[in-house]
Amino acid sequence: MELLHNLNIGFHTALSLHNLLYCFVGVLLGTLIGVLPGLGPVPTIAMLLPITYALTPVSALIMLAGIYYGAQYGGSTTSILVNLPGESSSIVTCLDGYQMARNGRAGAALTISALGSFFAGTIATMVVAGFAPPLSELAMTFGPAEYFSLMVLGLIGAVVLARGSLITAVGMIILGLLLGMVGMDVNSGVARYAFNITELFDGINLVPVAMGLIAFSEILANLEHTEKREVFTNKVSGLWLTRREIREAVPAVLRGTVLGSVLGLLPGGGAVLASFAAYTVEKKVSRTPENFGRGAIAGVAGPESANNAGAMTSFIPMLTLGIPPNAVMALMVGAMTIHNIQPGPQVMTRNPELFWGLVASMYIGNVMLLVLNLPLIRIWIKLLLVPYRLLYPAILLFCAIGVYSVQNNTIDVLLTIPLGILGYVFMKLGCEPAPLMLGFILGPMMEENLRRTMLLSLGDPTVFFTRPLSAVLLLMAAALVVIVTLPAISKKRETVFVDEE
Amino acid sequence: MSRIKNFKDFYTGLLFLLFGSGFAWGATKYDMGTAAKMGAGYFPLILGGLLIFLGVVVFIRSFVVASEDGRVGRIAIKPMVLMFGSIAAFALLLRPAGLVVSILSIIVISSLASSESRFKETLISAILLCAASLAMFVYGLNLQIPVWPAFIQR
Repeated sequence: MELLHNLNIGFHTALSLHNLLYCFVGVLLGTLIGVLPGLGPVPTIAMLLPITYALTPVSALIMLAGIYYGAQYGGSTTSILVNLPGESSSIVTCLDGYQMARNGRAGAALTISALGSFFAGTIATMVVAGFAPPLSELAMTFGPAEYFSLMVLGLIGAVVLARGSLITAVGMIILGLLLGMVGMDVNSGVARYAFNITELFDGINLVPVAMGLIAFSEILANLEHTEKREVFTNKVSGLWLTRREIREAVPAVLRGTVLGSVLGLLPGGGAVLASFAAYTVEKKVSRTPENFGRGAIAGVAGPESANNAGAMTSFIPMLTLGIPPNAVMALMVGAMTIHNIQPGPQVMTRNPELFWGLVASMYIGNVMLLVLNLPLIRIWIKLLLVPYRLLYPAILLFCAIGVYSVQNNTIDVLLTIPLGILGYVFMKLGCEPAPLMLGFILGPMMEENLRRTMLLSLGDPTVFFTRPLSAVLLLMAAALVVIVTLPAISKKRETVFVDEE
Repeated sequence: MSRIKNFKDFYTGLLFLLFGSGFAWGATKYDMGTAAKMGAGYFPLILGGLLIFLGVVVFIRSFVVASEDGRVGRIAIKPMVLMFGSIAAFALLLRPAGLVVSILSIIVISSLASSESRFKETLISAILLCAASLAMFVYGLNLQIPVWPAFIQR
């Protein structure tokens, strides 16, 4: 069995004292920032990127990955107890988790989200181990045309699953692609849209975009909602579930795990998308949909399992295709290139200990997280007693230091200001920033692959349809567009998302 | 002139138009090339054109299709100015005045954005954060950040 052999390599790597330590640091930090509202995995990973120079690539990736999935565990705690999302992937957990806390079932909500996350994490690790090798073999046959079509599919997928108007979401993607154009054009050496600012010749860095557009506008939004929040920190008693709760939660965990694993695979997918989709599904299949929003345990179990599954399987497109499906993965690519490892299908054959070590560490990390989040939950709850008025300036400070430290320049910090204002305006206008981020990440790669394809085909665009794999990918994208624009479905889609508001 | 039915769409459309035409206009200044050998302006021009088109569509839609939550809502000017002002202060002070001064300014200025903050409390947390940042980033992670004002450090 090749898989067993590979897993053996993986566990051998991940179980070294050194890597166990970094895995623990990662999941611990992940839980911490997950619990703290307004500080997400993106700024944290960005902040830690410079120190990964000193680590081996395996240890660096193990730690950074731990931060991402660790945040999925921690995020639910804040959602349930404070009604403030600790993490953007725990927004929907607020809906029913907080209501459960008000009904005196805070302990049960915390337990099911930790257990659900653990189950989902275990399954998703197996999905990564099972799916990544065949997918990377397939990816070996990809040419530039296939890569371009795949990215089109990913962008369309992000549009379809975004909330709100389709046209607006497409516009956000294009704006993201355009922002990705800023900087030196690799072919001609022209500095595009750089306004003679030397720091912009290398393009706008991902970190200030992510901080400004997402983190800072979120802080502003939190500041607007100043109504008193009831914090249920003292009422966490009885972590056990009742039999009825178990009966309702188990199928939700299973559904959430499957949904999250699938959505994580999509370019544009990941934890956030998975949790929203899972909540919608749970509400749809429930026999008592009227309980949703009033403390339905399925509304906590489903999304919390899905976000962890999605966080873990979103490593697959990055590791096998070299395409980062979200901002966290884009930073992972950054961490790998620091060590001269080009993400793509060749990683698995050239650096097997890196790939399998990471997979094995995910499993180990999930076990650690279960311990961190159940018996030790009370320690995390203490953190929530820090009032937001003290928390947000600190978050702002850490973000600013994080942005600065990526390239040691203050221009990046100043850049977050216009981007932050833009993010706030978009929030006010109901435009989701996630499609813009994805466009920004994929922009340069898309242009590069488009150019190569057209150069090889001597300027003939039909090549995208005559190459079978590329044609299939584009057909899938077209099918997605058709499906969502069908009047019946688009109406349903509207109501689904309106319900969630 | 007909009435605006959805203010969110109205402004989104304008914003798309603005960005689309800006990027498209910029692209015309770069080499276009041909489809087989694309120049620096080719892809951005296409994208800019698409964004202009979408902007027009969304703009027109704002007069036609009404939406229940089409209102933009209040813009919190004061918190916004203070928050981004504090970041600007941090960035501009970091090189000349060092980390300690920058931290004090970002924490104090940004705290003013919340109506709940108290000055004494803010000052204490700023001092604690200074100590923590020095320990973590300067001594722990060894990041290259100037700590004290330039005139003190040699």
